[in-house]
Amino acid sequence: MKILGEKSLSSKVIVGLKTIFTIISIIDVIVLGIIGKIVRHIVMKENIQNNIFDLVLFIAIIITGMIALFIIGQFIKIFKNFKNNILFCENNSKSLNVISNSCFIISTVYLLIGILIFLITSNLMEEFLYYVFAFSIMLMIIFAIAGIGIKILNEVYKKAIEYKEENDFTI
Amino acid sequence: MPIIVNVDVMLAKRKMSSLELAEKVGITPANLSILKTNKAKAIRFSTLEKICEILDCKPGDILDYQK
Repeated sequence: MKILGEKSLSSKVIVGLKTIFTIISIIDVIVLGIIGKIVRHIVMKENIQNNIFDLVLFIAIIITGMIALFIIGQFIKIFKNFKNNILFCENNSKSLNVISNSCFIISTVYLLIGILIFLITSNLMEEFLYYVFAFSIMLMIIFAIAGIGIKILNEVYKKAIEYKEENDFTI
Repeated sequence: MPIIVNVDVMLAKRKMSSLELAEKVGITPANLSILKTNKAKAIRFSTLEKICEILDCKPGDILDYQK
């Protein structure tokens, strides 16, 4: 199976990424609606403590969702270059750098959620919150590892670009 | 890079055009242009040998080092 170029695996991956992009966009819009409802409840002073917690959680979800959309956008750019047989170019390296930094931002957001939930759970002792805490810490670790991994891959990619340039300019 | 390629000087001395040299050496005019404009990162011994053979000179006549 062809991996690079027209009608290859790269072009199919682009279709998949665009589908994921659409799904996350729809989820973000739904979450925005939920945030609107929560804000309305807070304004009406209904169950304020729980609503503020939900608001923070959903804001964190929407922030990470937006960053995820940005990451997918960068991946689409990279795979479009692969589709056009542009492998070792500066733009791909820049995109990888942006993706790795975005992963670190998402990781930080989940760390903050984890700390917030830890502070809340110590007072409320609700089982549900422990699961959310474990989930956020798990996501934090996954995105931190992904960020580090992509950063290392980017350095390897930069070296490859350097070697390619050296090869191109060897007469 | 402190290595200077003086191919154009030798070409003028031998009254030869860049295109002719490129054809005789077996490289593209674009690659010869890269060499002449000091954009080249490296030169193969085989290419250097052919250039010296065609221009009837030594590598030192083509390559110079300036600090």
